[in-house]
Amino acid sequence: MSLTAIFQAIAGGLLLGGVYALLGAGLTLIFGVMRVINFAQAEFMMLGMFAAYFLSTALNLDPLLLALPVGIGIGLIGLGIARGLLERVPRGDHNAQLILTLGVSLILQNLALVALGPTPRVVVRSYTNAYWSPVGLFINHARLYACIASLFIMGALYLFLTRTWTGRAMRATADDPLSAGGVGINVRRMHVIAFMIGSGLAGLAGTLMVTFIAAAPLIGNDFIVIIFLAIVLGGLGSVAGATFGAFVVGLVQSLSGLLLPLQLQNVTLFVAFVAILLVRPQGLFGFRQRV
Amino acid sequence: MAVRSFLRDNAAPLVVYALFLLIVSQLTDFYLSRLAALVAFWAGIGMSWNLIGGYAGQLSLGHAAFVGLGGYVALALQQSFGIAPWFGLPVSTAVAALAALAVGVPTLRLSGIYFALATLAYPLILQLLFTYWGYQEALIPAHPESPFLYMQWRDNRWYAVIFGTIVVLCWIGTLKLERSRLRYHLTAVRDDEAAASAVGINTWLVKLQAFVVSAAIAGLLGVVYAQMLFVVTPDTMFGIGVSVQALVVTLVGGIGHPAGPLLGTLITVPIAQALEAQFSSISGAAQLVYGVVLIVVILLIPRGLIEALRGVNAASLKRLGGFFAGSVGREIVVPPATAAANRTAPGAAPVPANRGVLLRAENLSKRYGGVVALKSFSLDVREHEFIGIVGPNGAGKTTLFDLLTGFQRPSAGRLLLRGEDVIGWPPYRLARVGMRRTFQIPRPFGRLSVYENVMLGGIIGVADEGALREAVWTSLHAVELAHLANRTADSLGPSQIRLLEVARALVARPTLLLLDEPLAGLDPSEVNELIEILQRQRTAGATIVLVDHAINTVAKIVERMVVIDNGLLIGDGQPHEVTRTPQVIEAYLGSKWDHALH
Repeated sequence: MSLTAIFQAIAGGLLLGGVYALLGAGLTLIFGVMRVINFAQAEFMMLGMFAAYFLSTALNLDPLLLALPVGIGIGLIGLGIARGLLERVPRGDHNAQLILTLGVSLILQNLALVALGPTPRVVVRSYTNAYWSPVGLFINHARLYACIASLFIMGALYLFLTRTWTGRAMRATADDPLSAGGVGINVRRMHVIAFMIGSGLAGLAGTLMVTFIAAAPLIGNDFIVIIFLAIVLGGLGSVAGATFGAFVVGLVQSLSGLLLPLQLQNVTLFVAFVAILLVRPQGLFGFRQRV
Repeated sequence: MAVRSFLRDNAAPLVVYALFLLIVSQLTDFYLSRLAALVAFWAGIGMSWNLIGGYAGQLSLGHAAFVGLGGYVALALQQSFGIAPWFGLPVSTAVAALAALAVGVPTLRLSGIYFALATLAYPLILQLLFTYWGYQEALIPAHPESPFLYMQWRDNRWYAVIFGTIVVLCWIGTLKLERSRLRYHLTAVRDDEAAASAVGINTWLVKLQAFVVSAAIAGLLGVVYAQMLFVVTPDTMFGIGVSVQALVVTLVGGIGHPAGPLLGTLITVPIAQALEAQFSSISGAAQLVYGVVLIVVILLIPRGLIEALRGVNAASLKRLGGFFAGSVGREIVVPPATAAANRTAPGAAPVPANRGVLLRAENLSKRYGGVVALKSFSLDVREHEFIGIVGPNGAGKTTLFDLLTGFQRPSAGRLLLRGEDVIGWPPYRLARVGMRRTFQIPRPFGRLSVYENVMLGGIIGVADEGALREAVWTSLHAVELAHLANRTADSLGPSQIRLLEVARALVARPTLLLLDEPLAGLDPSEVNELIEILQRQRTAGATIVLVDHAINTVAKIVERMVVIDNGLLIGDGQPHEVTRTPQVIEAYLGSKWDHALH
C-alpha cells in the first residue's frame, strides 16, 4: 500500500466528510432542538437528489445552482411534516417520535420507489469525470465542488446560529426548552424551524451529491448509519461535533476501503457506531450526559 | 383441577388455536395456505418482540438480527454438515439467545433512543457479514424424499401448523407471565427505571431476561421461516423490513398485550400480501402501507387497537377486548377488615439509648467538571435518628441525596452502611438491604393502581403473597390512602402522590428511609399530615433522613439538623442550636429570622 494511496484515501474521505457534515448538522440540529431522532433525514437527501436530477435535466441547469432552491423546497416539505405530524406527538414521548419519523422514512422511500422505480439516476456534468491532480493525487471535480459548497453552507449555518436572533433562540431552546419558553421564545416555532433547516440541509446535500452519486429511492439506507455515527461521535445536539464527526466518518470509511474488501467497509462503520454508543454515548464533545 | 384451571385461564388461545387448525385444514389453495402460514409467523415474531418492546418497554429496532441468525445457523448446519433442521432448531435457538446475551449485556445499559439506535446496527452488521461470507442467495438443500425430516413440505399448511403452535405457546406463556410477579417487574422497568431501581428491582437484569427470551423465540421462528422460503437472502432475513414488521404488527394490535401482535398481524399481513400480489411489479407497496400505518397508529391509537377498543366502552366490544387481553385484568382489591384500625407498624419499641451508626459518610465529594457540588461532607446517621438535612437551593442537597442513595458515585470519599463500603453499589442493591427513598419530583408508576404502586415497593423482599398483601394494606393505612387503593396513580393529586411514594417506600419496612424534599408544594395541613406519618414511623423504629430547604418546618420536627451551603457542611446538631450558629444564620436565614423568633 503506497503512501499515495493513503493520501488519496484521506483526500477522498475529507471530501466526503464535507457533505456528510451537512447531513449530520441537520440531523443533530433537529435532535438538539426537538429531541427527535429524524429517521427520515437520509430520505430528505434522496428527495433533494431526485429534485436536482429532474430540475437540472428539465431546465438544463447545473445542480450546484439548484442547491439553494431545492434545499428550501425540501425544507418546506420538512416544515409541513413537522407541523402536521411531529407536533401532534405528545411532547416527551421519544419512542413515539422515533417511530413517527421511521414511518415518514418508509413512506418517502417507498413512495419514491413506487413512483420512480428502482433504477438509479445520476446527473452527468462536465465536471463529473474531471480530475484535478495535485501532487500525484486524483481529486474528482464534482466531489471537490460539493465539498467546497458544503463548507460555505456550514459557514452560513454557523453565522446563523451565532449571529442571528433566531439562531440563538434555537440554541437556547436546545439548551433548556423550559427556560427558553420562559424568556418568551416560541418553542414550538423553534422546533418547526429546526426541522425545516435540518431537512433543508439534507435536501441541499442531496443536490450537491447527485453529480457523483446516483439518485435511487433506497439510497438513504446506505447513509443513515453513517450520519448517525457522525452525530453520535460528535455528541448529539452539537453542530460543531457533528461536523467533526462527519469528517472522521468520511476518513474512516475511506481508509477502511484500503484495508478491507468492499462489502466489509460499512461493517467498520456499523461496529464503530455500536462501540461509540456503548462506550461513550455522549460522544467526543457531548454536552448531554443523559444516557 | 389443574387441568380445569389451565383450560379456563387459557381459553382464548386454545379456542383460537382450534379455530386456526380447523381453518387451515380446509385451505388447499397455495396462496391462502401460504398466507395463513405467514400470518402465524408474523404473529409469532410480533409476540416475541412484544416481550422486549411491549412488556419491558425497550424499543428494539434490530429484532431481525435474531430471526436471521436462527435461519442462517440452521441453514449453514444443513448445507455444511447435512444436519436436518429439526436438530438445527435447538442449536439456532441457543445461538440466537447467546447473541442476545452478548449484545444485550452492554446495550441494555443504554436507555431510550440510544438503545434503539444501537439495536439498529446489529442486523445491518450481520447482513453485511453473511453477504460477505457467501450467503448472498442461499438455497436450502432439497430433500423431496423426506419432507418431514427436512422440514420441507410443498403443502404450506404444515408450516402454518408449526407457526400456529409456536404462537399459541407464546400466547399461553405470555398469559402466564401476566399473572406472575415478573410482569410487575417488567412494568416498573418500562414505566420508570429510576423508581424501579429504588424499590430494589435490578432493571438491567430484567431487561436482559426479556431480551434473551424474545431473541430465542425469534431465532426459533427464523429456522422454520427459512425452510419455508426455500430461497434465503440476507435482506429477507436481516432486513429492516423484518424489524419494522415486528414493530408494526405489535403496535397496531396492542403493545404490551398478550394477543396484541396476533390482532395486528390479522389486520396488516393480509393487506400487505394482497398489495404484494396486486402490485408485484412495483416493489415497496407493502412497506409504504406500513409507513402510513405506523404514523396513523402512533398519532391515533398509540397503545394499539386493544386499548382503543377497551376505551370505546360498548359492552360487547369491552368483552371482546377483554377476551383478547386474557383473563387477567386489573383486579379490584378489597381491604381486609382487620387492618383498618392499625395505623402503626407493629412492634413500636422505645428508642434505645445506645444507638449504633447505620450510615456513615466520610469526606464525600462530588465534582462535575470544574464545579464542586459537594466538598468533604461527613455525617454519621445513627439508628432510629430523625435527621433533617437542610440548605438553600443550590447548596448540594440533591447531589448529596443522590450520593447517599447510589444514584451517583462520589468523586472522593467513603460511604459505609453498617460498616460495609457501599460506594459503587447500584441503587437497587441498596434498596434490597433496607435503604428506601422517595423522589423530589414524585415518580409513581402512573398507569398502575395505588395498590399496585405500593405493592411494587415490597415486591422484592417480601416473598410470601399473603405477607405482601398485609404489608401493603398496613402501609396504605399508615398514609391514609387505603380508600384510594383501586384508583390509578396518575389520577391522584400532588400531595397524595407524595404520600403514595412514602407508602411505597415503607412497605418493605426499610431500616433507613430517605426523603427528598417531601414538603415541597404541600400546603400546611398536608405538611402536618406527612409529619404525623413520619413521626409514627419513627416511633416504630425507622431511621429517617429528610432533605429539604424549608428550614423552619424541618427544625420543628427533627431531632438533629445538618445544614449545608455551597457544598460544605456548616452545621450539625440540635435544631435550636444549629439555627443559632452565626454561619447558618448568615448563609441561610439572615439575621431577620432570629429577630422574628424573639
